[in-house]
Amino acid sequence: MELEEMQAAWSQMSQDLEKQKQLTDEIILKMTQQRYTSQWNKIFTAEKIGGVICYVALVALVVNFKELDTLPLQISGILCILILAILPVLSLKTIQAMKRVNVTTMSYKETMKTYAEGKKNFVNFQKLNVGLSFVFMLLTVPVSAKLLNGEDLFETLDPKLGIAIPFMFALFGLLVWVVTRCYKRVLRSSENILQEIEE
Amino acid sequence: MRKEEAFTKLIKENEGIIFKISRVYCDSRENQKDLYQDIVFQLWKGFDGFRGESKASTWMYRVALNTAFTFLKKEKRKGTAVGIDHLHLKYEPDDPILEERLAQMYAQIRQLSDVNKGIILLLLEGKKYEEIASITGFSRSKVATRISRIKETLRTQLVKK
Repeated sequence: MELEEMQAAWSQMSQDLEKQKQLTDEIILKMTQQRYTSQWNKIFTAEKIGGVICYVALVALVVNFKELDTLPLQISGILCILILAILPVLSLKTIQAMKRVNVTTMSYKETMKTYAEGKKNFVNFQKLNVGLSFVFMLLTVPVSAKLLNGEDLFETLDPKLGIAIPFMFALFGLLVWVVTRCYKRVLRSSENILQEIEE
Repeated sequence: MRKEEAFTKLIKENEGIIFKISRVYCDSRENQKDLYQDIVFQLWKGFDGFRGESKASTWMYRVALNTAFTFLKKEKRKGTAVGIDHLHLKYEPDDPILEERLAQMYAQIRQLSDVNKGIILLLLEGKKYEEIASITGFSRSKVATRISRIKETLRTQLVKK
């Protein structure tokens, strides 16, 4: 169908719709009220809950840091503290960047641009997140073994570690695969939007 | 006039705009309802900030198009349009030829890019290039270029069929 034919069909539909009013005051107010409630519920997002958990773990680690009595354990502990402190901040920052999209004041172009750029940053953060999470997963094993069981895995070199480490790498490989697969499409879509805006 | 009254009046006067935008951006009836509700909510949220500097319809198109774009991009959507089930949000013309043409038109529009989808919608609504530029944020000359590209794309779609 060419544009002129579309315009004719569209105009006919618009005229019919003018006659076919469906909304009442009650329905309109009900719609806004329901959506307001659902937006309010979204405040407790997984990221915020995750952030709280990270900071609880961080406090526990700092309080018990003196239990880590050898250099390898102390280095592992410090790295765990750094990761626990940095990740939630980065996560909330990228989410805030996405929230800069203000559909009530921005133009269509600005909305698309801000959204696509925010999405790109979010994807890049997720990649960093996976890497750091893996490092954290490795470091947390000796640290938690020491804090929870008083066992120094660096000293005892438990043969169980021989099984655990390849398992961890396999899990990490799987995670990287899933994340890359999931976000490739999102990233490509954001790139396309940005490219199209500039054309 | 109270805020609620002024708002409901505005929505009732322009409900066709919201319906058409929901239909262009979403395939399923469920998503159309969800988007429709989202647009009404965003308009309510921005209603205080709307000072009448631009025409009400211009402001509505801008908010509705932005909402439709972000709605499409949300990865996870929950069907939250419960409670407005009695709102049918459907348009079934008596003329079967018109019905078929509209179905074909929507199918063609949905194949366009996000930018062009918004522009063709405004063009079909009878907006002038200046107004399309003001709603979308693109310059007038870019709007003109895009419209000519859209026409080309529509012709190509016809050839492919």
